[in-house]
Amino acid sequence: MEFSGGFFDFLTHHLKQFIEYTAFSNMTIGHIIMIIVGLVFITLAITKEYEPLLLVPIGFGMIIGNIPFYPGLQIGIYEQGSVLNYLYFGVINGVYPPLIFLGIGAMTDFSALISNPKLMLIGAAAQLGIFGAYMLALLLGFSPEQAGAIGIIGGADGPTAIFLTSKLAPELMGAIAVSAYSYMALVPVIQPPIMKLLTTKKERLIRMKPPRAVSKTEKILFPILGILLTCFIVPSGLPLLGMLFFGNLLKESTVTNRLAETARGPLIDIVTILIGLTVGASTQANTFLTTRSLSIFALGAISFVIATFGGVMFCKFINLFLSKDNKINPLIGNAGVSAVPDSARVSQMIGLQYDKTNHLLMHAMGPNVAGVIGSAVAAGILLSFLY
Amino acid sequence: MIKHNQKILIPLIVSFLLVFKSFYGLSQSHTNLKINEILILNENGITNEKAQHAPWIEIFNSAYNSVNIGGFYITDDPNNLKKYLIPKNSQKTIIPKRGYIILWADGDLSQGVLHTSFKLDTSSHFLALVEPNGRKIIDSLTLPKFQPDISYSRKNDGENIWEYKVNVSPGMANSTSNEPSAAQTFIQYDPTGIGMAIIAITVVFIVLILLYIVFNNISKLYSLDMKKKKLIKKGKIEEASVIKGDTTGEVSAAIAMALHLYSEQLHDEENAVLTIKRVSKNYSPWNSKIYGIRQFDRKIW
Repeated sequence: MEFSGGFFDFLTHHLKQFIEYTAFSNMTIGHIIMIIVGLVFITLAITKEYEPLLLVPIGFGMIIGNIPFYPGLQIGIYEQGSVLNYLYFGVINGVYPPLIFLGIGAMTDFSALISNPKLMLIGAAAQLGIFGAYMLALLLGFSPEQAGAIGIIGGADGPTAIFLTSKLAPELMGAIAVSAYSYMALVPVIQPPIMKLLTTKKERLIRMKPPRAVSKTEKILFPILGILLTCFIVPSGLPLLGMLFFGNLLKESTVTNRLAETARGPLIDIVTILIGLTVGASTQANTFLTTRSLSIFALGAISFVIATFGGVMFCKFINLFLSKDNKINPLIGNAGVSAVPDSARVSQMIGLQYDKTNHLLMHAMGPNVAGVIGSAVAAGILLSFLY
Repeated sequence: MIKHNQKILIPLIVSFLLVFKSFYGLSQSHTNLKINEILILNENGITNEKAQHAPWIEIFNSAYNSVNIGGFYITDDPNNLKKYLIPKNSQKTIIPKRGYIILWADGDLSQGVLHTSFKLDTSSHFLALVEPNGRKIIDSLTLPKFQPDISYSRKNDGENIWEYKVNVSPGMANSTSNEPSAAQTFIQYDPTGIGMAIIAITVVFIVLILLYIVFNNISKLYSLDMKKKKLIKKGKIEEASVIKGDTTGEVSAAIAMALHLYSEQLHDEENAVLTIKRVSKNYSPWNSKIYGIRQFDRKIW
């Protein structure tokens, strides 16, 4: 390139080019909105401690993803060959979610579920939210694959939502992942009013029998029988359920403590950082700020409501058949939507509001972990029908 | 250091794995290989290495792992299943997962491992792919009458419906992908999604009910009452009477708390006697500043 004006011309040309490359020059109102959303996420995580381990990486990822840049420099998450694109590979190909499930398995104690197996059924009933949202999404004109991916938000399980979306509707990844994690963080806000609305004061005061002690053999048998029983029926849930039960066996066998420690410690931390950051960065304003994303957010909220409704009402239904001493406090029904352990904490919190000595946490952990299994099974079914 | 029993155990495991692998590998291959498409009167289609329009056979691997057909037999004679042994030790005979391989039935072995020793023509009426043992047929078919450049193929890869095909597809999928996807088919019959909801919720319930049934019974098996009953059956009533019911988590927590409080309270009451111990600081060259600081010659400065 020739610069007729000499050095000064050369300098102004490059300065102009530099200005064109800055974020200020490429900024749109959408980018500003998304950066503000990212900042809100970080604020909520730090001040209110709403799922900080997820909201901080996602919020910061949103900022990273929405700093505008001159296209073609292999910087953005959607630009092939960029570093962020390589990291995003694990999201878009469903690599990270099974690894997170491995960690969840290695940190989850299924004792509450084993000691009172009937609580598993609450975990099944709470999956109603998935299919309620699926039907509504179809009604709103989403394709069946997209409807399936949106529905899984109701499972209140971020990794499961990412896994299924990567297979069925990767184009909706940002909206679905952010929606799923946001509502998981907002469980303490969404669920209590529904729980109170659906239960009577008498029901909220029900005291459940303390869980019995669970033997080591039972704990070891659980992951082995768990994978055989679930995956023989729904093999498509294998990536998630296989890793979940494997992680749990590492923990319960007690002979692989080092592996269990790695799975529930450094491994899950690394994957959480990568998944949170890349999911956040995938919410680039030009792909994320659409009416479709807003519909997904609305459907996500409805699915959470339906799921909570399903869990609580199922407890009330099952109580009709149980003896007076064995009744289930319907306040643990909300915990059927995975969101471990936040939804169980909500049960405990609401329970204590009505009786300061009635601790529901241990009981709520049963449907809570059953919800993880239930949502992974539901994802497997959606995958086998729609993929 | 490897212990003696480990020395025995490791080769055992390795040999078991090798046996398992070979068995598994065979079981994967011999059920998943299919003769997928045949063209005998090849007049204007694809050509072999010598640029000849020769008859060809397409084999499809319906498995999700690659399969090597080296060592298998292919034949057009039902009385001689070992008519042509596909050579081993060649990379060319590996069929990738869900992939295809073309064998030239031109009777010209000089062109490489993918050419059969026999030539298919309009008089041929049988074709079979046979296991390496030369006895068990993996897939076979009776050849129909052929017309020029029209193949005889499975309608969809690996499926059992055969048809004549004008648009031959050697090394490619047999079906043209105008067919609706699984999701589109599903939505055609279930536009509201109610069917999906009913089926899926039922399956989720079945899975978790199964787990419930199993663990409900396992908990009974492992409950202490069973031990008690066994002891009573054996006549050990005294031992049985010692066994109490399950200790609940709450009871365990209460016991732990009581023990904790007890151990904490052991030192609660002090004897209120103050002892002032004389602290003397003895000289030691190890902490002496004289030896700790470098002594510089001030005269130099």
